[in-house]
Amino acid sequence: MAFFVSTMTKTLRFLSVLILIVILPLPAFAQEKVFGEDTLKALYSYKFALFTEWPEAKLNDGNASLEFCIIGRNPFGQSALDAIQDKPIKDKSIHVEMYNSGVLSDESLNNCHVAFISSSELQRLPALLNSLQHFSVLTISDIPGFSRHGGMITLIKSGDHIQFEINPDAINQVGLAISSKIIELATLVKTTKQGHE
Amino acid sequence: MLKSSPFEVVLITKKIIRWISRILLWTVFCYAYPVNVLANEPEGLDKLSIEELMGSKVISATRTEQQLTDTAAAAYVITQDDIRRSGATNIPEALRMVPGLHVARISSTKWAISARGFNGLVADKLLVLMDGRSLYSPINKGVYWDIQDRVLDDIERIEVIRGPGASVWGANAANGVINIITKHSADTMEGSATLFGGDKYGAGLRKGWQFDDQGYARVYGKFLRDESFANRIGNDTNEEWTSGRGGFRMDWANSDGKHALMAQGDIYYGVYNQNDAKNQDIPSNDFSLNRTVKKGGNIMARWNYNQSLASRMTAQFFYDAFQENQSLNRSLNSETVDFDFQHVLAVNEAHELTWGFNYRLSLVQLKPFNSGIAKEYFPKTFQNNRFSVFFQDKWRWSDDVEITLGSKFEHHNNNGFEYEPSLRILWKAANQHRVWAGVSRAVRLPAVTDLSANVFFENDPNLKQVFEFNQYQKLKSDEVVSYELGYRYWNSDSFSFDVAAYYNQYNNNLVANNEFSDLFPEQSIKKSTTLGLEAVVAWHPVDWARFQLSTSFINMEIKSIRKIPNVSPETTSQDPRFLWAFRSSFDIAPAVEVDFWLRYADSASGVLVAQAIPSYVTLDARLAWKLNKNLELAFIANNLNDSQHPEFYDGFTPNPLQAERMFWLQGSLKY
Repeated sequence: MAFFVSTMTKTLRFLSVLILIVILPLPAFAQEKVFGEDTLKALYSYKFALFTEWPEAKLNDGNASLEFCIIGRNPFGQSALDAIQDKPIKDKSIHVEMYNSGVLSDESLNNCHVAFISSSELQRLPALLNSLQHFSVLTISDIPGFSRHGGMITLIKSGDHIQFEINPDAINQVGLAISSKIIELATLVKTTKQGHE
Repeated sequence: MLKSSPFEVVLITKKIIRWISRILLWTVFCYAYPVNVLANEPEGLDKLSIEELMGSKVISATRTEQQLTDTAAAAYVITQDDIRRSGATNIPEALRMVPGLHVARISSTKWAISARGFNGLVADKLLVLMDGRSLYSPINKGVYWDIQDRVLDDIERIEVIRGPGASVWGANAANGVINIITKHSADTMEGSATLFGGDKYGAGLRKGWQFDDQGYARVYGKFLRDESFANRIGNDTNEEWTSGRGGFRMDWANSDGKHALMAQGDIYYGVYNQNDAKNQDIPSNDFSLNRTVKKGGNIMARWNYNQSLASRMTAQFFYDAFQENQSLNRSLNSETVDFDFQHVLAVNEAHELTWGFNYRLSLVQLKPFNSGIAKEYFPKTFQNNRFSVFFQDKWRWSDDVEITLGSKFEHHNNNGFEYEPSLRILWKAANQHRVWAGVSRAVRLPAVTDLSANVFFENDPNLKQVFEFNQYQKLKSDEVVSYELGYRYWNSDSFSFDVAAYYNQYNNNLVANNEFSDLFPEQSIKKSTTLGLEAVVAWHPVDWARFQLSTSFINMEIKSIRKIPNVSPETTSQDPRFLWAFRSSFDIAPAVEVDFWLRYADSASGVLVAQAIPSYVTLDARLAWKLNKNLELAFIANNLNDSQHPEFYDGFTPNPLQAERMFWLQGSLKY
């Protein structure tokens, strides 16, 4: 008898825990799309690339991949990278290339279509942008003030959401064009902090 | 002091293990449902519109650190979040999180920390750096862990590489390199205050500010007092450790970002009552204590020059001073001056070249405790000059294969020329699969303590003598040749698996050749080999739960040339063959965190039976409550399952001291 009661109690306890666990998380996941910060930033970057036009010569380089370069310490987790790796853009597919040391040759840089500049490169940002302005590379970063320093797109965390700033002049200067659909949704800024030239 | 019987201990341990497994089981069930929702069919993610992205919410879940997936070495990173959730109050405690690293506390003031064997009070084969400054003591061929500390919130991450790192980092990086990296001062603009009290207590304070458009600075202060540790029969050892430190860091960059400067410095002062060489079995609290004062400081400056996107140079200087005053006017002093230059150059798409040079001068002065003894040669100043150059080429041989080839070449005023080459290959076998292999040679250079040693005479502990030896001969360095193989797999952020195997061959020339090898039986090792395996599985099934299971195994074969008859030949290794650790973290409510940390260490032998360390299981726990955005309260317990156990024996006491169960409360305020 005692055995029966204890088994019952155990089963009941187990069931109640199971039910609690299954029901509790429901509301949290049901309503909004929820992402890790890095995944959302990666998806944004992919979207920006999708709406960007590169010069004909840069795109017809005979390479089947669209190079997505990460400069500096990789801020993306694997699920963020998985979300964009091999995804199609203009008959090409995204290939992620990491330059964790933050150093890359002109040759490598010229191969990049998109450069995501990690926050680890904060202090050398002006020097980086100075080098990058000679190439048709879409520059994206989450370093605050990136676009005001001459970068193209800045991802800004505001509360629970991520918004973005765009510096259209910086984009046009290197022969790129970004769709008005993106421009309309962005906060537009100009290069105000001179650090290069 | 509570003393549990062995039976009770087993019972409690069993209970706790059962409890943990229950938590784990529950979580498995919990996760089965929400994980499907979270997975969000990743194929479709790229189809989301930009408006949908703008409407998406960010969860501030911490992710698994992925920087090192493409490293051709056994690497592990401790993040700031890991440190916070571990309940650690100083750096050695935080290092317990590293799989494959044997971290053992000897007494309230001493630690033994090493990777891949040969652990000891000062483990001589592990190189430790803080922001590029070497913490390796020129006196005692190892790191004094008690003088290394920071406000833990100022640490950005700790990178640990098990295995040789000598081709870049140079001598003494034979079994591993630990890189402690503090936050850039732009990231510590908010003030922080931490206060904890209970079985140990302490406080930390930090204040940061901006002094220029691209200039940031911070200052910090920290105080710590710990008087834990018991003797074998459960009496308090009266050990006391009080330490205080303070320091600063500033970072500045010029407007075009080409030049960046970093400067930092610390001073510290610690008072120790160490229970040395006293009978441990007396029940009274009347121990004679060795009172020691350790003080010192360091200052460093680093200049970064970003010549172009393809070329970056770093020049660095540091000065470090240390003084230890022991009872009977015995003192140890050291001063180190170090200059370092490094240049990273992307030559072309395939080759990233790094080269650099280093000069280090260290002075060590030892003062005798009793100048009346004729055999002593001290006081004396030892001077040590070291110059080295290194180069390394990281070659992207193909899209999938990366080869790193490099060597350090050093000149040392005692033993001349050394070379430390390394060859590593990384193969990106498939997306999310990495295989790597490496062959390298590293050395451990002779230190002052290879030239002299204390000898205790058993009948009279007050009669110690200092011998100096090897002074007329050129010493050969200890050398190791290491063969490594590793594999990593990860499935998104939720699961990762990392395994590394190694086979090391050592030539312990330093101790084998000395003239007094009869007197130091535990040191007279000639050749040894180690074979080992390290594995870690991390699982992050849902946002609110994380697990990590790690293990390491080592088999040491030590061929000694011992001449003392009553010492058994197989007892030299003080390293446990197996280590296990299981960490779990839960966010049980939006503002409540619970952490459990279970560790097992296999038994380790001692020269005498009473000095052996039995295997032990220990459980740490942390319960934290975020009252608001700025204030966090935590309740932390160490050794929850066990009233006391020894972790390591350093030879200073007749038998090992024992770590006790501890509780404390901690409040952390950000302002």
